[in-house]
Amino acid sequence: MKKLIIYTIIVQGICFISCSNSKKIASFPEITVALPGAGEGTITIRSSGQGETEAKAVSAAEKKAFNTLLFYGLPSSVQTRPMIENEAESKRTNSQFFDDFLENGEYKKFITKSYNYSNVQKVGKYYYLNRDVNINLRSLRAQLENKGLIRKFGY
Amino acid sequence: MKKKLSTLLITSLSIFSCYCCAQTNPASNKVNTVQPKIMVIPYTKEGEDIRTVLEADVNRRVAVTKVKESFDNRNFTTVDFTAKLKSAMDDQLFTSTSLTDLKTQLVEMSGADIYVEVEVPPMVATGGGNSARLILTGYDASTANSLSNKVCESPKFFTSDYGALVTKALGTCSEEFLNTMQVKFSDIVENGRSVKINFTLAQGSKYKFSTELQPEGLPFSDVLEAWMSDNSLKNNYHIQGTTDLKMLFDDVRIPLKDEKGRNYNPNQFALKIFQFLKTKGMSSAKEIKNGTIFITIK
Repeated sequence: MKKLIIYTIIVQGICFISCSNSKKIASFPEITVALPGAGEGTITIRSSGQGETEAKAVSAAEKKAFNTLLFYGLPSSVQTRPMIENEAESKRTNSQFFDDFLENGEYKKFITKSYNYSNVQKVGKYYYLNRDVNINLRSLRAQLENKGLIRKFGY
Repeated sequence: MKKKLSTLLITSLSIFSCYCCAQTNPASNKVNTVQPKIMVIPYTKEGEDIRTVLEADVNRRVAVTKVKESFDNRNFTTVDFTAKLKSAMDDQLFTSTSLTDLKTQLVEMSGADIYVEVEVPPMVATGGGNSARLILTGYDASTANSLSNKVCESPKFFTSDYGALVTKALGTCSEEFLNTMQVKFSDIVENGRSVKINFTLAQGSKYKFSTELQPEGLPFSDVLEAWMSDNSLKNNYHIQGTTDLKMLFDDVRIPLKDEKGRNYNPNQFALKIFQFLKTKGMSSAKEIKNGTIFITIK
């Protein structure tokens, strides 16, 4: 009998955790879109992020914006194509660059403005937010060219 | 023993540091870029004089300058159209009075590999404001292959300053125009640059393109095609047409670099053709103009 009670509690606990997790994701959609009207040589990306602290959520949103810009491009923007064509190959041959750039925060040098678009929500242990990130596209391209990740203009 | 150990340690350390260097030094993957010559010119309609069109229309000047500026922002210097035009006028280089011909001559004379035509249609005026529309078209000067096309439209503003609207319109698409062009450049790096080859017969030549060449006994045009198939990059060529007196390859891909990594140009390819014809006992004259190779069989 005791075993049955323990078993029921464990099963209910698992159900509760999984249900509460899916509820969190459903209530907070993932966003990465380009916004119109950015200044010349820049791009503004609205990106969602989540993390155990607000700072981690901000960082996740910014990293996602850069990741999309570099490897996927953003439709209806000045950068519809990915800046780096082959993600897997580039990450393999330039692992140190990407470690510094995305993981160690080098990308922050190319942010001209970054602010929360909506109020930060805290659901359970996690913080969720939407952030508008304005990126200096021109200087980012120059940096990628200088590091040899993309070709300079020309053939 | 100690000595051996320390030697082993130093060797392994140096190998490791070299490995790290190769992994981290991005300069090792650096790609050399050949900069093509690009000229930005205004679009002219039938009967319009390219010489006066820029001087008369400030909006076209703004458009041309803004397009040049977007190239500058990518650290790319373009051939200055106005300067070329002025110097050509001073040197009285234009041989024709035909207005359309003048544009062709200017492109040829400038030595530009690529030219970008900027069309500035009249202002679009609506009740909700005015906007400008621009049409940008980039061409390969030798083959006339289109490299990039964009129609740019500014948002609507309640202003009659057309120059400002033109600037706004260009801001919406110049980056994408250059990005598309860069994609085409990457294709050129991968599949070679395009040249046009024009084979003709000199007056009084004993050959025709249907003449059977010995020892194979194949028509001359087929011998040429077989050679082109072997020597164009990745067997990439297209014949526009063959007659008894003429053979035209409108798109032959040649590499950007030779086997030793040195720059390879249409002149070197023309020399290769010249040498091949010599092996067949033919003498020929070669001329290269604006990425087109002219071979005349004597």
